[in-house]
Amino acid sequence: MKKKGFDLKFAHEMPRKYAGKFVATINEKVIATGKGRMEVFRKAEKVAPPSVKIGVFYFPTRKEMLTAL
Amino acid sequence: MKIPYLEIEKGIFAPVVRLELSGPIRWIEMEAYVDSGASYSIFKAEVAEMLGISYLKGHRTLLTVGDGGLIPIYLHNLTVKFAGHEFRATIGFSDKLGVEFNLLGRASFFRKFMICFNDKENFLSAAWLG
Repeated sequence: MKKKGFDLKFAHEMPRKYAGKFVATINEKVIATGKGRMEVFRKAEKVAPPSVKIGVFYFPTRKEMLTAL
Repeated sequence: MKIPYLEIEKGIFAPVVRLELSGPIRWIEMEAYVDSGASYSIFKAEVAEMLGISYLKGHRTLLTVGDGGLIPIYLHNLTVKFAGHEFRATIGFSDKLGVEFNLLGRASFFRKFMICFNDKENFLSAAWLG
């Protein structure tokens, strides 16, 4: 249930809350937010041993999603 | 497996998924925009640094991007987890990717999964092909 909860949070809540920002997570909890991928990763890395997975996500804005890649 | 699209704004959705990459240091989970028109998955060069990978040591190739220009990418064979499965995949890294988000392209992923976009109901389905 926890996993499904984070799936929904990731899909529906976080994109609007963190649009245009990077978010680092550990065990599905937000550890850091900011404007740089490495910046938030470094903050998470300080509190996570190598055995622990770190999540680093960018939440694009609506403008960025109008793509023709 | 059904994966909900990211809801960018109310009623505005995009096929952005989560996947995990393994490096010498740790597993890292990140976002990727599923781009069925991309030959390869392309991740920001910073992601390689997080994983502890020297991305420039990969196989260098050039990719044509949307404006007709070419960008260099460096291909690596990494262990990944996506849609409940763990497998080896070819992943490209580039410091010239002009968007902030990573791209999940066809190489490896579209051979391992049948991927369908459901824009009416705003989810992506990924069926394991093995």
